[in-house]
Amino acid sequence: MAALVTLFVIITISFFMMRLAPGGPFSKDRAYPAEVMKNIEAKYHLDKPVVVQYGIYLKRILFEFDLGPSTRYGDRSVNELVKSGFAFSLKVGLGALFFSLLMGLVAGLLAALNHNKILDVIPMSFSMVGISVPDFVLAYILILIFGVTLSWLPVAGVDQIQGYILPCLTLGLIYASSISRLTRGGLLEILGQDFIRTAKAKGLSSRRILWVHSLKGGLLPVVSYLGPAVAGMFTGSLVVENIFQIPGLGRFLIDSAINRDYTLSMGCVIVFAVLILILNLVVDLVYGLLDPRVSYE
Amino acid sequence: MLIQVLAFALVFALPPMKSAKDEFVFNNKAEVETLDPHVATGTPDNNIIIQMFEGLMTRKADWATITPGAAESYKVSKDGLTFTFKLRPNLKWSDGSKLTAKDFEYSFHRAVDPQTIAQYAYWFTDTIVGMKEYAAKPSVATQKATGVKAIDDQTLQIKLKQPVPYLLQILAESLAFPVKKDVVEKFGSQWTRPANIVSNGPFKLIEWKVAEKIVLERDPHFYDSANVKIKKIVAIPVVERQTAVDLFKQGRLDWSGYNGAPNAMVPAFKSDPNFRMNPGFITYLYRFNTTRPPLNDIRVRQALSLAINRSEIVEKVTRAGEIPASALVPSGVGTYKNAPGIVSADTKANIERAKKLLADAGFPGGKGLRKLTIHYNTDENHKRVALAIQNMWKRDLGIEVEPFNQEWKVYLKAQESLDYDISRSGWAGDYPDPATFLELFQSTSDNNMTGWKNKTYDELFSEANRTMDPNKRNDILQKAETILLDESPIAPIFFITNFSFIRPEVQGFAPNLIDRPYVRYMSKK
Amino acid sequence: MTEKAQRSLWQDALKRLKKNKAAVFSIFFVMGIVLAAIIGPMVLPYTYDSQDFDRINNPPFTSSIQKFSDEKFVDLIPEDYALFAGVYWNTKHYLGTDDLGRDLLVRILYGARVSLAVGFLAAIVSLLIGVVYGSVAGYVGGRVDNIMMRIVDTLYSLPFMFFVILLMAIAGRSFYLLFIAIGAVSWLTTARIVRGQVISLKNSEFIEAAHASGTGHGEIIWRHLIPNTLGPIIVYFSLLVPRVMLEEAFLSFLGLGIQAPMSSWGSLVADSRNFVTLYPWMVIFPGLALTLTLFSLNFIGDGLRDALDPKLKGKQ
Repeated sequence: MAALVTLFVIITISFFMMRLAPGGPFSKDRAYPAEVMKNIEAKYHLDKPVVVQYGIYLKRILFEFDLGPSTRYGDRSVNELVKSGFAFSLKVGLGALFFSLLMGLVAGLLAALNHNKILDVIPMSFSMVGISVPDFVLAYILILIFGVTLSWLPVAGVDQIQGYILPCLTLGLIYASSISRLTRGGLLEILGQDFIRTAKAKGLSSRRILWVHSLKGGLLPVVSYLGPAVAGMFTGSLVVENIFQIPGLGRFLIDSAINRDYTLSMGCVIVFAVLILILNLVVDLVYGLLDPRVSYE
Repeated sequence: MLIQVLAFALVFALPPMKSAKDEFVFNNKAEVETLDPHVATGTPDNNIIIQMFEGLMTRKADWATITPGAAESYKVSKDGLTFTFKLRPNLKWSDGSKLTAKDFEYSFHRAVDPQTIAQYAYWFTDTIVGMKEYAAKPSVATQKATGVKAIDDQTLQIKLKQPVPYLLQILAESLAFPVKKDVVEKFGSQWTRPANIVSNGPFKLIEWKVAEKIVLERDPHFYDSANVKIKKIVAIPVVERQTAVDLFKQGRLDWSGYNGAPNAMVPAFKSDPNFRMNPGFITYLYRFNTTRPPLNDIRVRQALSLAINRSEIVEKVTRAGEIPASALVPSGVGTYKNAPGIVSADTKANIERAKKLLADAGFPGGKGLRKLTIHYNTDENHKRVALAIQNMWKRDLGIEVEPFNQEWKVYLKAQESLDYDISRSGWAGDYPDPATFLELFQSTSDNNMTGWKNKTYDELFSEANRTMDPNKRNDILQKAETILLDESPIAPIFFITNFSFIRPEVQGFAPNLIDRPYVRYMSKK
Repeated sequence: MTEKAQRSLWQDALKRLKKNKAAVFSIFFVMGIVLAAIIGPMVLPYTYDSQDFDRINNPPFTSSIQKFSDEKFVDLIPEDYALFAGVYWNTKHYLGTDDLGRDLLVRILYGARVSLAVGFLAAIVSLLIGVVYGSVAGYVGGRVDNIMMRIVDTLYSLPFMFFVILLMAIAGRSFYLLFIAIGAVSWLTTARIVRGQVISLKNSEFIEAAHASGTGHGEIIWRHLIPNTLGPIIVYFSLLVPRVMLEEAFLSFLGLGIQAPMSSWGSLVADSRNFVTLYPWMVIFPGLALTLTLFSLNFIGDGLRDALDPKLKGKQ
């Protein structure tokens, strides 16, 4: 399928780009003695030509689903690390999704229904805050209030369940802001459209108009947005993971890029890509269901 | 809706977990890369490994003092080349089996085996008879020809190629820790998992959740277990320093970790009773590329080094209690006295001298000197130091330099391939011996990275490494350091000071040069 | 639509915009910032990189000079401060200094240049590519659309940060690379949204009417489809510029933004985050500048959207 071709292209691009970047997984501030370096390279196939390495790597993932040993965390395989990282990112992502949808949809709905009145201005101002304030500033603000001053919630770390609240809230607020604006924008578009006026003229009750017709169409921009947004939430927001000490996929990805941990970074890229591809398919399906006027070609 | 509110409320009611009385919870700063003692190189790895394993020799809580470990005594032959270690009776592994000299014989050979990929293998192959040959071609025959032999279950003999004044230091390091043969061979790269691992130290590995925590428990099979007061160790990898401080203040950490506080906040924390500072074992320095003009001119290098106002940097820029450095080796290493170097305590005189040197080299007032680049890797502190030095050189010497931030690997590569003008660097000593710093600048060292070669320096250094008498050895090393500082292929800037938060209930955690937490000596009030 | 009718559409829009007080105020605010950013660094006595070790971490104002010195471990120079209404105001550095003694006001104004430049340039790049790409894909449909969207999907599935890091490692650090990297990744969502809108509108009556009257495809896209998708596009642009500016701030957070001593608002905030409890002005002022500007840009975007929306014509 097309999605598989996409995946293949992604793997190839990432693989070769990683190797183009200067420095390798074993260049350190304290040099390895030459004989040891030789042994390391042999172990990880780094002494072979790049194309051969590519072949070995592809064979291993396709036939054994083995993402290889991590070059940095020698005792762990990438499969393990990715699994563990993804589990954390998923938990945070689900929490963030919950918050963002709850706050975003409600705010957007309220605003659209009360266009230019006070119930429009207040939620929209809050959402302005959400998209104007950098996520790390928001995170530190929440930490200062709830963690340091009030001491209600842990400052960092997710060894306790409460530790998930602040990161989910931070991520959730940020996405909620965009969701509320898109919801409002989309709903306002739809509410003003011809076929809605037709429905009103036909005498259908406002409620029915709202729920049946406008919500479906009005949510279209949100649905388009949600695809990559959900992927972003699930694969770990870098900043949130960094500040709240969450050992998720995002952190592994960045660290492995910086440390040139070839195998671990490829593993993260693959999970990221697979997730997005799946979510795209879902988005397309939902889009088709929601928009009564889309004709499938 | 109601259920959600209730759940939410319940969540607030749970109290944060504080550490218990017989537990030591600390910040280990980063996820451990490996727990294999022969392969491990980083501090986070070693902080755990030294709790789990013990070598023939071990260290006291002050890290500097070597004391008998698994070996209860040793004898040295008259020529200083043969060491015979007598193991304690009744040594046991954490799985209850007996630990004998044969285990040590196996471990030493495994450490230099090319399959193990031990970065420090050269510590053995350079010093012990036959190890180099064994490492090149491991076989039954080459193993028989090495100087590491188990004479019987309780006795291990080590034969050296030449006198090695730092042998006992090496034997206390993780390269010399014993590993159990059948475990390593059976499980391969998985042998360090909690379910598989077998160790011989005061603690054993119970749990290892990647990037979350490592849990160790007191091992009753350890010969000195009766004197180990702490029952459980929990190590959490907290990367952000401010987070570590916050966690400490919330009561969840007993120790905020090595340099466990943001540098910027150190002046504010100094007055906190739980905050402690002690001299460290890292030198912060700038490397000069001596193969590139004008840095190939010794006068230019000396001028640049002299014009760095180290006190101003330490007091105004970094402010984390660092000690201005005019030498390479941090002070406090045994009885070693630093070479005086060219940088005096009189800043004005230094600058005058620098100006004159620069003029002598053909750049009066800094005119004609091309714009040099200072490479540094991405880090807030490195940036500020580089900017400050840029300012100083402009103000006092009239020259232009450009601080250039490079990504970590790019920066390493540039330094290694001598593709830089000036590169910021740091170096930490492996064990308490000035040679661990001075070895860097031998012309053959891979870690030299300045292009500087000096035959006398090399000769002095080799001689020092064959000299057993510590005072004579220190003198020779000092002579070598004098040459190094005079020719200035580097400009040492400051020595790091260790700082961290520690609970007052914790006893027995002696401040030491690398702030290594030897939990076996600790207890809680 | 006739020429006259079109002109009055935009005139109507402008009239509506002028009525929107928040948007008007925001436009003036942004213009003010741009002016200050250009003129400020020229008239102020400091440059963005002039260090002063005697004046590190100086606050813009304080209630007591001695108390500040004691509590915050900084030696203030009393002559710098003038007493007014019970508060000591910093007369040499109006917004205080940073940890190397550099004047914060100049650095913020200089940072404005960088942030705004990066933000607008990247957003425009992103918008142009996205609108063209998305409307073509949506309009043409079929296999072409399929292929075009597959390409977008592929690009989408690449983790942005990962590639920026590698790109910068391979190509070196430069200002141009920064906003090209940001712009090149952001166009994808624009394209998606535009395409979605175009698909929805493609089969509506007035488009069919245009077809029937013989209008060419290009004209249909340019005259009918794009103006009708302007609503969500503008909303999206008003989300895009700030998002791009935040992404730049994020890159600075990771240390990948612009080279020191140059600074952007994002890097000013990121650099000082460790000082936030001791010397909060270092974070507050650049953070405020960033936030207020983004606010204004968002208000402008909203105002434009409301002004241009043809459905509201006559309703106000």
